[in-house]
Amino acid sequence: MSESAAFRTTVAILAWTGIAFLVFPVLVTALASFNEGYFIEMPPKALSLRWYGAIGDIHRIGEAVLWSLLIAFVAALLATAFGLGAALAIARHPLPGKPAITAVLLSPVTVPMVAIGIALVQYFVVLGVAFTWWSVAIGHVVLVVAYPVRTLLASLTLTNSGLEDAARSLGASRWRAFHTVTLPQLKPGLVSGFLFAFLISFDNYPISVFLVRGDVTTMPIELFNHISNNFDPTPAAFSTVYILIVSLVICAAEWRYRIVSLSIPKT
Amino acid sequence: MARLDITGVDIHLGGRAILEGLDLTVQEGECLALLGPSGCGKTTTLRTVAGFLRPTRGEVSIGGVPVARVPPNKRNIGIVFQDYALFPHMTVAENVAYGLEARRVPPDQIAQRVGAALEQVRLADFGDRRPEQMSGGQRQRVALARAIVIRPDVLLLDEPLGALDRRLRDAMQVELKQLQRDVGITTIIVTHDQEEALSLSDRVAVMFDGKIEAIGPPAQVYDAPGSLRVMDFLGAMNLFEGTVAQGRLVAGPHRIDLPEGVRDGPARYGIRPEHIELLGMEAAGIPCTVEELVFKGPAVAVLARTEDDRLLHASLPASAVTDAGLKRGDPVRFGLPPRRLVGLTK
Repeated sequence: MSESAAFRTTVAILAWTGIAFLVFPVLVTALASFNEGYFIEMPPKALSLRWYGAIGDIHRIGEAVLWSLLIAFVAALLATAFGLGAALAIARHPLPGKPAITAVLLSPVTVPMVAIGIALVQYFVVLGVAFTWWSVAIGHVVLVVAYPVRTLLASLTLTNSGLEDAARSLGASRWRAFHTVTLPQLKPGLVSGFLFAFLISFDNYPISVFLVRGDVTTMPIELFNHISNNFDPTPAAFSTVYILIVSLVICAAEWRYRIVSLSIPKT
Repeated sequence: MARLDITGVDIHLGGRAILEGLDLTVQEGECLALLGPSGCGKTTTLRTVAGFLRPTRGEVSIGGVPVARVPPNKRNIGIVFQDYALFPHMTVAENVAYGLEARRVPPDQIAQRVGAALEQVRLADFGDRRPEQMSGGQRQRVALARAIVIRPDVLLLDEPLGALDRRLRDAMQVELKQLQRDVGITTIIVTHDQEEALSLSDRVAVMFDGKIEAIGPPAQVYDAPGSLRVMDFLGAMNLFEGTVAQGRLVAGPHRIDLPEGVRDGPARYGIRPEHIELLGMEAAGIPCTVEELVFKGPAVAVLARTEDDRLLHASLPASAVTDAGLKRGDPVRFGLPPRRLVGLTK
């Protein structure tokens, strides 16, 4: 075997192993959800859709999904708005301490979530707003703001800052230049930033578990409560539906806005 | 259309003075080329006229109206950017219409003026295309149409032909000149390409270190550049340094006749390659040995070494070289016509 063939084989093995690691749990979950029996068996002895029918029986699941949708929507909206301002400032203006500001904005990705959760609940208790749905949403903003910042920074570096100058020279005010020229250029960054923020908030457990009590609950919390007390494949059925919906949304966003180009450099 | 005055303008960027006390006037309808090496301040000048930079001192006036504190969108200036800066999410027609929409021109007039502008740059059938579907030359014409459709008082062109290949550049040069003359807009062309500057403009201003070092009609600046670096920047040249005594320049072993009325003392003189003459071997001239002959069509570039081991660049008519049967290693005598010698400061 020639040296370059050996190299390519090694890279291919690593790449396919990586893909297998990502895809295998999803396949197992989907397979388990079609299992007829009460206990998850591999491989399933008989196939059935009964656990899909049982999704509604998970305690408070409908209400929890609605809360999660609301919280994720508000958190993603706020995070995208803040992220847009931050990314514009970082990409387009001379700022003192720019690397430090960027590091702080992206830090929630690296700070342990449990630490963020504890800090947030103490903060909200002091303010007397703890355990309201909107305090959960604001807490999630801290967690998810890094994603729109990152995708919008990528979007901004891909677009030509001269376009705004061109618009201004043609008579457009700063506002007009921004919303007719800059904003349309940032659409992929806005969409993918919002989407990432929404999804990260939607299935966050470690922060929500500190922020949620009483009337308010979220989907991951109820799902985990169910798994803690039951062994049936209903959560697998729920997860399969969830993965399917998310995949469709991502595919639609990619087809319409080419969002993947923001995370993978063009070849 | 309006006259443009820049008076005593200082521009500081990041604590560094880029322009200091810049004075420049462009007459109504005139086309001025701002020429200089990168970093000389020509782009800064352009951005100051456009309103993207605010002078710390001095004034910019368009048609006699001071605009130094007026934002770019209130200046009525058309700019063709170096990379054209066409809006990629809009069609060609939408790009051209942008400035008219920002000015709240009625829609029926917009359609009519956009059509006329596209016609003017010979892109009448391309209104529905997107910029990415067009060639470099076409994009440039779209950028031009977008800039002139707003009937600007001043047109600014930033390295307008820089992104085009050789052949297209020659074609666009002619087209741009015709268009500028037809429209008659006061125009500044910023460029580092001396040929572009000399061929497109009514006047050339050569900039170094944030100051204008030479200004005048192209032929005048080319023939009498004043300083060594201006002459060097505008094209190939031969330099002789020495002392003037009795109307002759003594430079090493050479005695070079100068135009009448020169003062004695240390001096330097330059001469363009095309002004060097090929003399007969018996004539008084600079004796050299031919090192290289490069055929360039109408002319032949001759590289010749003098007795004191200097290389002279001469551009001789091809017919003269053929008649003399010049080849490498031949001895030649070069004549330097006194009236073609240009006295130079540093």
